[in-house]
Amino acid sequence: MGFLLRTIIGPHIISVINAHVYIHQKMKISKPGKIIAHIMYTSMLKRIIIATAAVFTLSLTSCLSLSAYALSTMETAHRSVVKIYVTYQREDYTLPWQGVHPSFGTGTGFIINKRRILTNAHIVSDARSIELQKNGNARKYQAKIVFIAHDCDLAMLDVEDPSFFEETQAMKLANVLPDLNDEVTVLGYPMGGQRLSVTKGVVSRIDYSVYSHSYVDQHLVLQVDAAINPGNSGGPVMFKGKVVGLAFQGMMMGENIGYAIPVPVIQHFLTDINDGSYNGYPELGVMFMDTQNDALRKNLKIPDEKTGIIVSYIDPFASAVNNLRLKDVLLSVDNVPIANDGSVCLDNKLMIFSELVERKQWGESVTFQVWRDGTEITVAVPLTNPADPFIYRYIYDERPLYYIIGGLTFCPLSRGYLNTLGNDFADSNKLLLWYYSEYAKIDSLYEDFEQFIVLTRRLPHPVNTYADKFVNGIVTNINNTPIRSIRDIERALEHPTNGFHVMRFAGIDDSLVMDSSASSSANNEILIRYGIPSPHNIGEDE
Amino acid sequence: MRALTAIITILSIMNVCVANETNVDSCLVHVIVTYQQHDPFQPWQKARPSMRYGYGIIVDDSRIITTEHLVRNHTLVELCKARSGEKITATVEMSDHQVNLALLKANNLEIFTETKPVEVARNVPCNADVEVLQFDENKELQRGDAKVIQVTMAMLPSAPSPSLIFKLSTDLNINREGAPVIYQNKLAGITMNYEQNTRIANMLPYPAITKFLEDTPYHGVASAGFQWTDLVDPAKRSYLNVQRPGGILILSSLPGTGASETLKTGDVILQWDGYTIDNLGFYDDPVFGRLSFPYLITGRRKPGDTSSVLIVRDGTEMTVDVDLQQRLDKELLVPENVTGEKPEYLVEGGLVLRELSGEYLRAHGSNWRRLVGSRLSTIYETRQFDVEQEGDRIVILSGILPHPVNIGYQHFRNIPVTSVNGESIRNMKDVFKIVEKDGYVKSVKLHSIGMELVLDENSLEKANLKIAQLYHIPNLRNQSLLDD
Repeated sequence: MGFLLRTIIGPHIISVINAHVYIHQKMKISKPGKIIAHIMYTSMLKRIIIATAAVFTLSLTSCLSLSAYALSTMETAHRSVVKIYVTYQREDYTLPWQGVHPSFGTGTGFIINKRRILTNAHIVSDARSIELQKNGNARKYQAKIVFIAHDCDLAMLDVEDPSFFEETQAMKLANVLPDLNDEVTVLGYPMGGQRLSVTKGVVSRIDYSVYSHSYVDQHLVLQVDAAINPGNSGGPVMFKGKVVGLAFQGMMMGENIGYAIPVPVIQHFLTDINDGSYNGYPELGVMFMDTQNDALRKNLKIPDEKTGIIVSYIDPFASAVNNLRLKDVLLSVDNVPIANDGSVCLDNKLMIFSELVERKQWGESVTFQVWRDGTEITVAVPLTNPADPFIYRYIYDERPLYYIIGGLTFCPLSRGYLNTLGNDFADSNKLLLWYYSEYAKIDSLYEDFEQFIVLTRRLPHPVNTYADKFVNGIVTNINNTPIRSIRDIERALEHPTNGFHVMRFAGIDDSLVMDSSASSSANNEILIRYGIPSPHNIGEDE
Repeated sequence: MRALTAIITILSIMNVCVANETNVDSCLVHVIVTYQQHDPFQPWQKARPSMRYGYGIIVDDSRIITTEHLVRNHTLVELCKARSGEKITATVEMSDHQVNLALLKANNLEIFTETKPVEVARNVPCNADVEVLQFDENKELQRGDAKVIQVTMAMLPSAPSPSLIFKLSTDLNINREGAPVIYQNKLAGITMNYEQNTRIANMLPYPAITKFLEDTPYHGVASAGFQWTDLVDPAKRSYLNVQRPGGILILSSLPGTGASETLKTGDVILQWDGYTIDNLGFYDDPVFGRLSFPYLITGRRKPGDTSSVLIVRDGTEMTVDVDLQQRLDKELLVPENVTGEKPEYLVEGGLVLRELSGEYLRAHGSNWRRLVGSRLSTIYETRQFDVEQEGDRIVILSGILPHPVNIGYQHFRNIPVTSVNGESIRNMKDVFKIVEKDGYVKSVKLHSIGMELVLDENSLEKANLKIAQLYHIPNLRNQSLLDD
């Protein structure tokens, strides 16, 4: 499990990622980069153990043998690697009308061409103030976000004051990934001091991993054994004078395991924003089974010489939905053959086939050779990235939605709210939330909903004294009107049942009954008593 | 002279006491139980045998009563009298986990010589001073004063509904379960557990014991088969149009029970068998005072009886008759199997199929919800009563024993199975029927996984033999003989 590499000073540590969250990540199924059917059930336990504690070891590399590349690296570094000071404020999902205490942190960024600064999204998310400082220059410059990509933890900043870019030099991105054992240099402003820091190591592994920032996305990562510590986030990983990655997270409980966002992911981001907006990674949205079993191959009449994987689940919200079918055997992707375990050979490196989908942009197509009903056909899948309310990615830079009636606070189920629940699954309402967040699509729980609306809190008042057992319940209808989204609540409340609001919840046999006129008249009093500026925030249509 | 008389008098009184005490004391026996549960993860084998120690008390010429928990999954039951090292084997004649009582029969009647069985008390006041008997480590008798401090309905560790419990306060550190509690030389009850820091013991009281011993043939505990909640909320009372004070609300009923036929969700029960129930579900019992109303069913009734119930339905009061039955754990969608019975299972091509049970889930440890995942946990926690059709169960693929025949499938575990050989299944009986018909399992469809797990019929027989040999499985299937 990763932790994010920004130093944190302030009351709220942002990246305490508990074990159950990891399960959510593993269950997330619609990202092309992690078509995870075959790891879903096996690797969970192992990973949970990893996710328990963080141990930082400060290893200060002192003997740097400076090669020619290293020299040029250092020269560029001094002129392009900047320190980022951020004051940020997370939303308080337990009191959705307000934020938690602002916190302060630092990170690293580096200047790339067109006078932009590249850094991690997690450094500048929910930022209230962003200041940049060049190496060896005391002045702090105000910066603003130009593009932010939460699904791959990248952001691009700009500084309005042109003097900032004086005597700076843009870093160059490499075109290809480094190989294993290639020696890389990590630059940044990690904990342990104020000035630019350099650490060195080798590329230990090129693999897929969860990007902690969004909680659900998986992409290619570069694992290096150079010391990467809080504050290194956003800093460049250099190889032969060029940037091959951007340091972003570390591994708890491991030693010398640091992760960087590799250059293909950075390039994908830069290409995506070329048109002036960030669309995000397209979602293929399939789970697969391997075809190593002979009986299974025989059953699907797959010829012996063909290799590939079987589609075992299709995400209803993603690109594959009307193009691929269950039991389709994917033989190749864009003419690259898929092995029986789902891997493809790319640039002489073995990778999961979805890496070829990963490198595409929204709007492009990916072509599969498909073995379907005993014949081989070609299927082009146009790639989209539709709004999927059941993916439970952590949302940044948005105010949470809520609706309060008679002291009952309703919110859409979100990763932010799930994170406040802790691990108490003995509470059956919380257990149900956990289940709904993980299996919304797989078990077709989503079908009657645009989003799940949760009774997140009772603000105690005589009008709602007996509502406690419904807290954390998912409301299915109010006064027999189905609640499909936060916007349905108001309409449902317009038609009380014989003077009462009757609310039904998923998995709870009992109903919540509230006097309709008493709850309306109590509303204002409750808002004043609990210091709530507005009875609801139901989004754009308000 | 006067002093001497007094001493003599006191001595003679003590003599009388001692004579009586010997009577009761000699009925206390030590019960030594070797037990062995099946392995919940590999149901074809048993877990390591272990021992439990407790007490029993002689209640007639050949029989001894103790707790059911003590003798659960026994492989050997032995009895030992005070000051004696001799062990006599015993047989469990009858046991019921719903009341936590068991009746043992000694295989050698010598143990009963020089004893007179203890009578079960007929009335013990709710604040009675009682005595608890037990042995020390040398099997010398210890007796301690205790006082009944509360009579209440509480959940027994293995019962689906609450039972009548007497709470005792005593300074005697009760060292084992089953220690008898004596009131006026009669058996007031037997203790289940003792909490050292509060010095409170929970006692199974005499009414449960009397009922257990006198109900022949034994009918078990009565149940109406519904779930209910209190009805305090004035808004809800008003919404349900309940005019009178008191009453509880029915939430759901288990199909096939008396309640499912006559009671509906949303009914409010005002009276049960003529006793008025308050809005928290309590009534005034003529003997025990304020008690939770399930005692009217579990304590005062037996299966086969009919209760007369006054309800409010849609604002109208009416009286309905509710037939009471014994509620069997195995009728639930996910049976608890607290008694740890060997489950039905099938191992085919290394795929292990079985029905989901509370016992299986809990066997994963205190963290079981996380380990088995939210889907199975949620089925267990929220859908126990969702038996649409009699016999509905959750069949799961609990895991796969790796072998070349199941390569590519080995990561699947704890997933519900929806069909076998293309036929949908509701329980293990369906699975066995399909296997009997087709001869083997060709394919298994898992919940929400679009592709069936297919097994190669040609290599299956050989693979089964090999798997049985490799994983030490004496029987690749356990099919219950108690067919419907």
